[in-house]
This record gives sequence, structure tokens and C-alpha cells, in this order.
Amino acid sequence: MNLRLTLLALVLSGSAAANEAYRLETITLPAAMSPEVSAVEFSPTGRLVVANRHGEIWSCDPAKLDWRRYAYGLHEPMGIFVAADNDIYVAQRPELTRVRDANGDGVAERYEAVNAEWGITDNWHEFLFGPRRDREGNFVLAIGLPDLAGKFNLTNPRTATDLSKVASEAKPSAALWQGWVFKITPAGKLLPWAPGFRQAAGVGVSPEGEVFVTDQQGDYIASSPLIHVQRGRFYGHPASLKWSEELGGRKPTAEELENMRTPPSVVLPHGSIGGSPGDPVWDTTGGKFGPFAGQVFVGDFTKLISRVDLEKVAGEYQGAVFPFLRDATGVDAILKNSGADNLTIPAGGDGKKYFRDAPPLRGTRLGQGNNRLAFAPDGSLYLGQTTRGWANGDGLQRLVWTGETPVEIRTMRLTERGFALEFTTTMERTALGRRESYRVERFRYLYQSASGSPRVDQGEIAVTEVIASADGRRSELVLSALDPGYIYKLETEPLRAVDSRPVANPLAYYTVNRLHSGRTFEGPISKPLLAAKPARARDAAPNLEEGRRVYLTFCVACHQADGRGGGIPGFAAADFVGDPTRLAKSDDALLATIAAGIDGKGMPPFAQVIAAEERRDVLAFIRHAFAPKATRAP
Amino acid sequence: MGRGLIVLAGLSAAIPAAPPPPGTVLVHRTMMPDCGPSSFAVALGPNLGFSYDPGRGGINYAWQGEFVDLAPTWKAKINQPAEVKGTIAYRESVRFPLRLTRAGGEPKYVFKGYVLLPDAVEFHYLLDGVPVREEIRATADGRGLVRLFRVDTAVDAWSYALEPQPTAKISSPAGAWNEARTALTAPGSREFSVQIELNARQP
Repeated sequence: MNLRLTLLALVLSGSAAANEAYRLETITLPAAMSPEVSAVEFSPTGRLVVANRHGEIWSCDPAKLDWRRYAYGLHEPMGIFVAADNDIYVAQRPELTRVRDANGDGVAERYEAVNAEWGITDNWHEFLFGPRRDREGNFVLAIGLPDLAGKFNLTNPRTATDLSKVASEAKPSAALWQGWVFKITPAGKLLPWAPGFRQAAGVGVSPEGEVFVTDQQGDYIASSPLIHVQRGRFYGHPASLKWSEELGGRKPTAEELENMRTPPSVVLPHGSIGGSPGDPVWDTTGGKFGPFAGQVFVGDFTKLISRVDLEKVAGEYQGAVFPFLRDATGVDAILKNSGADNLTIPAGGDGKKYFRDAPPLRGTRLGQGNNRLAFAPDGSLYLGQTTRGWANGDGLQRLVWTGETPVEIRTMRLTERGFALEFTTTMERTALGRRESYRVERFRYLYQSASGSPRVDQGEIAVTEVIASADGRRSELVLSALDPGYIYKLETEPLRAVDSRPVANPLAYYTVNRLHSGRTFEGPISKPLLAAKPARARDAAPNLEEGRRVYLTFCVACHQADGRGGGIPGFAAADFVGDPTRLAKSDDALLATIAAGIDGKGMPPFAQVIAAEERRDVLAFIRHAFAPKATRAP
Repeated sequence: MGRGLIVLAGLSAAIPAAPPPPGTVLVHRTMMPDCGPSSFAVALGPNLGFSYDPGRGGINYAWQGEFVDLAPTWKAKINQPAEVKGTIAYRESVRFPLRLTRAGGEPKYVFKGYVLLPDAVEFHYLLDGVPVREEIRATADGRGLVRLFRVDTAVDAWSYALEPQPTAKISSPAGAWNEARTALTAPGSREFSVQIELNARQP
């Protein structure tokens, strides 16, 4: 058995024993329904209501699945709010629409425009997300930025349109309020709420009535985040500032943008925690879904559901994200196609792929395109799935807690000296109190116009002390360094519960924006802090080991440990092994690409991130590791 | 073949490859060619369709033939409009062609939605704050459109922009054509109708 098959077998066998706490079921949809589920909610009477990308709304009794089409003809709806069985609000591309069945025949006949005071151009990327309702009865929505790769229809515009750019964004805000989160009052008035979003595909309102969204990794968005949206703040993508009255048309500098920007509450590290998140939903089931009451679940386009534990530190939300559910049998497919069909966890220290947090489920396979989540009255979590044509996996599934307590890190909270962990069950106490049971790293992302960001300023942090609670449910980690501005990665293998079950998802990422003292990162975030190294002679030979380190730090998430690329869906990361033309170019040409990136292809510029000699090192490593002998540099 | 086309094969309701039966309507908001964003594709029975543009405030065009193919609008990274499966015989281009006054000037138009009727669709909008209901149905012979405009409070003068139509005939039982507009001769009406006969000539 080769290494890959061995790893796969370990993952699958470990998972089978790891978690029987949740069962995944696939919901049968009627044959006449397009399965691209773009919205899922429950009515006040408990009816299951879904919308699909083709513009329909269907509903049923979830126990009977007696599906009935309620409405049709909507323009790519991406969210619904069910006020009553005969009264549904829909976020469709052009407007917030109230769809009513006034004559009581079970089929809507009235499609009433509630508000449409933002601009549209029919660009494929102009999705409208929401509507969620806050405590004041306002609807919360977000409209995404269009894509220059698509067309703009400027015929008969209903608002001002403007294709100019504010800074170096890839996607302009082409019409009024694009890139904003806004509210629609009960009286139908639009309230601009906050700018700075690229494609806030998930909109949520917490039980406390606060607005949260997820955004999508890309230009100016280093990694997809969960953001607590506060009125008037700016969240990073500059395109939407075009419509800001405060700026009055002035174009801010990069430094101003950095100073204006509020960092996201919780970063969902690209690759490890998906790549394209959807709705955040709060577990308000009162324990019907297991031991995670009050926490946030986020669906992802990839075969992933993640879990977020929020806390307020010095007055602002931040917290930890954990993988919660990954597809199990999909691991085989991932291994076969080098990650092209899913996102993989970046390589470990030995340069090999591994999937340490897959797959805590039994039942059917988790689908792709998990954009929309909703808790049912019975406490199960429904997963609405559409891949919008990018992949296969549309449909509707639900996750049911079996009653067995999962073995998980329930919470990860910041302390004065590190982190306090609480587990869902009693853990084996010897390992719980051992420093070697915990591995902590930290890193930062760059705030830059290039798409995404490599992890920078990355390093291992020593766990200097562990204080385990007497009841085996908690441990406190004291770290050698605790500073704001970093994402702290925690791995807890080989912790096990007293019944010997391992932690199902022994991985967490905590975003430390602030310490309890109120201290924040003193930046600047956009500049890397690579460890200083002694200067080498300009004509010195490239250092392969140093190149390997750089590759594993900056390149591996996209190009993969085996050099075959395809790590991130939607980005055509070069396959150095399968496509010999990639490395047939001259060193000068390849070094220029590494330095400047490839605009529109997802290859970021590394000139300000990796020193020139390190760029030479990494190219030498890539040629050494992946190129056919004939194309290796002499 | 894209996913949309696969679904299309068995789903006349979700993606109308086939036009609706006589006496029924289909209304889809989508991307239509030569229209403003998120315009409507409406089928009135099996052989008559039109596009209503809520950005322009009127019918952009009408055609005889089958309905539209929405499959191009469902592909992944494209924004191709739907394909009209018929021959366009009537076109409008004037912004906000309906006026509730004899005075010139472009009215403020706000689209307010629509109601599906068994054999027609009724669009709702505000013109300078006045609620207007525009019901559009097929003529009795199914070869044209009847547009019935209604308000709750009588207005001084209805008018509707008329553009030369080489392959359509426009008439209004309520009034006479006056230069490029038709106006009601009797003020105080709450209704006004226009009939558009496709593939016919203006006398």
C-alpha cells in the first residue's frame, strides 16, 4: 500500500470510530424542481421552504416531503425570509420582493417590490444576499461586486453607474451601493450600513440582533472571514467607497485604506477552512443539535461545514473557527485529483498532504456548495447546496444529532497568557495536562490588492505550561508569545476522551485582533515580517532547503505539495509536473512571474513578500522537485 | 451540454422550453437581450411573448412564436441573456412612455411589482407618486396585446408614446393620435387602453 492509500485508510478508519454523533441525510427533492438550492428556511408553522437558483420557491411539511411549488420566475434568488406560509420575502437579483398568496390557493400570485434602490447591471457576479431580519424589523442585505470578466448592461439604468475604480481593485462597484451591506426598514427605506465587501455571500443576524456576514477571499480580502458589521465602518474592499458620502469621490491611498479598515472578527483560513463561505447561522436549538448552543455554523462551497465560537474581547467580537463536518468519501477523490475537486489542508511539515480533521459523520456524503443553512424546529441543520454551475453537488441535506456527545473542543477563549479550551466531554487527563498534546503556530495575512494572501510571519509558538482542570473538561494553555494581529492555529492530537475516542476535529484557528488589555496590532498589516537572515553573496548558489521552506509557506496551498496545482477551485494554479511547458520558461521569466504575479489568474505578486534571493531559492526548489530532468536548470 | 440544458429537458415549469397552454401566462424575471437589467419575459399563451422593462417603464418588444430559452442565463461564469424563440414585431424605446399629464417632462417612475392573473399579468408602478396598474393580456385572436392602464383617481390626460411600427398596428379605443402621442379626449377617466396588433400595418 502506498503512502497515499495508507493515509486514506488511516483517515477513514479513524473517522469511523471517531464520531457517531451526527448523521447526514439527503432530502429527496421533487423531480420537477431544479436542485440548485439557493435558500432554505422554515416558516413559523414549521414548513420547510426552499428557493432555487432558477427562480422557484417550493415548500413542504418536512415530515411528509409533500413538495408544492409556491412561486416561480424570480431572478436568481439567494435568500428568503418566511414571514408566514403565504408571505415570503425574497432577495432576488434586482430587488427585495414580497411574494404573497393572497387568494389562499397555496400558490403566490402577488410579487411586490419592497425596495430596489441599489444599482444593477446584469453582471453575473452581482448577487443579492439576505434577507435577514434584525430586532427592529429591518431586513439586512448585501450586494456583491460585479466581475470585469463579465459584461455590464448599462441599458436603462435605474441608478447611477460608474465603472471607474477607487484603488487597485479587480472588481469595480459598477452601480449604487454595490459592495455594501444595507438595511431596508419596515417602511421600505434603504439604509446604507457599511462598505468594504467583495461578495458577502452569507448574511446573518445573531440572537442579540447584531449583523454578521461572511465575505469571499479575493482582492483585498486575504482569506474569507466572518465579520461583525457595524454601521459606518469599512471592511476592506475599497470599490464600494465610491458611494461613500464621507469620501466625496476622493480616492484614498493604500495607507488610508489600511487605517480605515476594521479587521474581520474571525478569519476562516483559506484552504484549511474552506474557500467560499455562505450563511452564518446560530445554534438556537437549545441543545437539540448537541453541545454547541449559541455557536455559529458556517457552510462552505467546498464539502465543509465549520463552527465558530465567538467572544467579546475589549469590546469587539473575535474568536475561533473549527472544522465541523467534511465529506468522508470525498477524501479518496481529493487524493486522486490532487485537490482539484475540493480544498485540502495545506501540507504538513513533511511536505505531504494530510486530512487530519476529516470526516465526522455517518450517513450519506456531504455535498458541495453549502451556501445556505437553517436549523429546523426539530433541531436538525438543513444544508442548501448550489454550486452555480462550477461543480456538481446541488441539493438539500440535513445533519441530525444522534444524541451521542461528540468529542470536540467546544470553546477556545483568549486568556491573559494564552487560550482556555473547554471540551464537550471528559478527556483523558494525563494527555490533557501534557504540553506535547498541543501544537500552536501563528501567522498573519497581508492586506493587499492582489487576490488572497500568503501566510506570512509564520512560526511555531511554544506551549510553556498547561493547566488541566480536575474534571478533565478544560485546559489552559500558556504560550511563549501572545500578540494581537495574528491567527493562532491549534492542533490537539493525540487528545482523547476518557472512553478513548479521539477529538473529531483537533484543529482550530483563533483570530487575535485584540488582547484583553485592549492592545491591537500596531501594523502595518500589509508588510511582511520575514525573519531577518544574513545576507548572501549575490552570485551564491540557490539554497534548496530555504526554497523548500518558502514553497511550503507561500506556494503549497495552490500548487500543492506534489507540484500538480489545482489546490484552490477557481484558480488555475500551474501543474509543474503534468504540464512541462510551465517550467520550460527561462529563470528570468519565471522569477518575473513570481515577483509580479499573474493578474486575473489568482497568482499573487510576491515581490514585496519574498526577498529576491528567496525567490531564486524557491524557483530552484520547484525545478529540483517537480521539473522533468531535461528542463531543470543546470 | 450545460446543467441548465439537462434540467431543461424535463422541466417546462422551471425552465420554459415550451410555451404555456392557451389562456395561461408565464412570467420570468431574467436577463433579456436589448433590455435593461432584470427585465421580464412574459408568455401569453402558446404563440405570443413580450419583454417588460422595469428600468424603462414599458414593453421593450413583443414577438410571435415560442417563448424564451433561459438556459444561457444559468451557465456559470457568464451573463448571456435569454434567447427569444420568435420573431419580434413590435418595439419601444421611449423612456416611461405612459404619462398622466399633457405636460412634458419625464415622470418619476418606480416599479412596484406585479400580479399573476389566470390569463394576464398586471404590472404595478408609480408615476410621479400616482399608483398605476397595467394589465397586459393577449387579444382574443392571440395575435396581439391589450394593455389596460388603470388608476384609482381620475387623471387629467392619459398619453402614451407612439413610435413608428413597421410590423405592428397600435390603436386606442379611448382616444385619437396626436402627433407622436395619443391622448384621451375626455379627461377624468380612470382607465386607458392600447391594443397592439402584431404583424399588421398602421393605417
